[in-house]
Amino acid sequence: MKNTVLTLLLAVLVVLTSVMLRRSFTGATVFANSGNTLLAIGPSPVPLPPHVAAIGPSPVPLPPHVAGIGPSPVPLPPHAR
Amino acid sequence: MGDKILVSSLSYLGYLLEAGLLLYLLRKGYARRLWEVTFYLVTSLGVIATRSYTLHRFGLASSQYGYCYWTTDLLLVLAAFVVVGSFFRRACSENNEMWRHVRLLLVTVLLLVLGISVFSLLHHSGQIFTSFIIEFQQNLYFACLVLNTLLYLLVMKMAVADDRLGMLSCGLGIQFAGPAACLAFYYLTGGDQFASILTVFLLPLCDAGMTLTWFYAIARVPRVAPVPRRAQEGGILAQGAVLHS
Repeated sequence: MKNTVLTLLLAVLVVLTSVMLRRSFTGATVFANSGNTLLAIGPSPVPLPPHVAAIGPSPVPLPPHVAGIGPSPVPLPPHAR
Repeated sequence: MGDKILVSSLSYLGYLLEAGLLLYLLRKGYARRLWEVTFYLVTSLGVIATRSYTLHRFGLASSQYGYCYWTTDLLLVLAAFVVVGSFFRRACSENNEMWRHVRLLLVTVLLLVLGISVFSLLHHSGQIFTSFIIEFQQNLYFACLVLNTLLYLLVMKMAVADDRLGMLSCGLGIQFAGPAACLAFYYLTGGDQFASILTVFLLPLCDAGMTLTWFYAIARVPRVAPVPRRAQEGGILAQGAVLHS
């Protein structure tokens, strides 16, 4: 019984930690998703979207809402915001 | 232009590595034993095929592509969650009591993340896609990141005999933590040019890093860790002591 309660507490701690990490890493909150705070997973080799290329003077367009896991040149859709 | 080509090359390299690892697993007969790795690779390759088709068919600005992108991304995160859970199962393979608690932990985490996402949906009713699917995917992504860290600590603490597991967990860590760190850096520097360039180049490298680490773990690391020499000698001495007694 005691172990079960501890496990449940650990689960709550894991979720809280992940929410806090997300907030501090990306500035996102649980209720507010901005386009700049999204992480995508998986490789995606397709051109980056035009609105992404416009951000920053970088010669390489940064996907602002994609710090994607994996090589992700698949463009992020504008509707994700 | 040259940078774009380089980034695309790195990305395609990631795909080639994933496909190569999948072929290696199938050819060597490891596909069933390491079913979770196979499952993740098949999902990842299937997702890119789906995205590419949708992009080609409907175009970048289409809502179909937007839905397809984030829905498949949710699938990938769910696949990663299954992989993390399966690695936990391997880590606890000799301790059923521990596995019962870990299973409860995983189910509770999934339900809590689902609950938070539903809560978010309640605050933005009518936006089921952006407020639920993407919210759920993002929260689960970070939950996987934390769970994978816990998994690695568990593997180290329990001195799990399966030496591959630590390396496989490390690979997953590169996949999760790398992009998160890149985004954090980008966010902290306020979209600095250097951060932008770093992020763009590091993202495909993180995926390739995971696949290479998995490749190394599967091809080079023995499944069962060799017994340290000192322990062997200790065992021989102990046997000798028993014989003498």
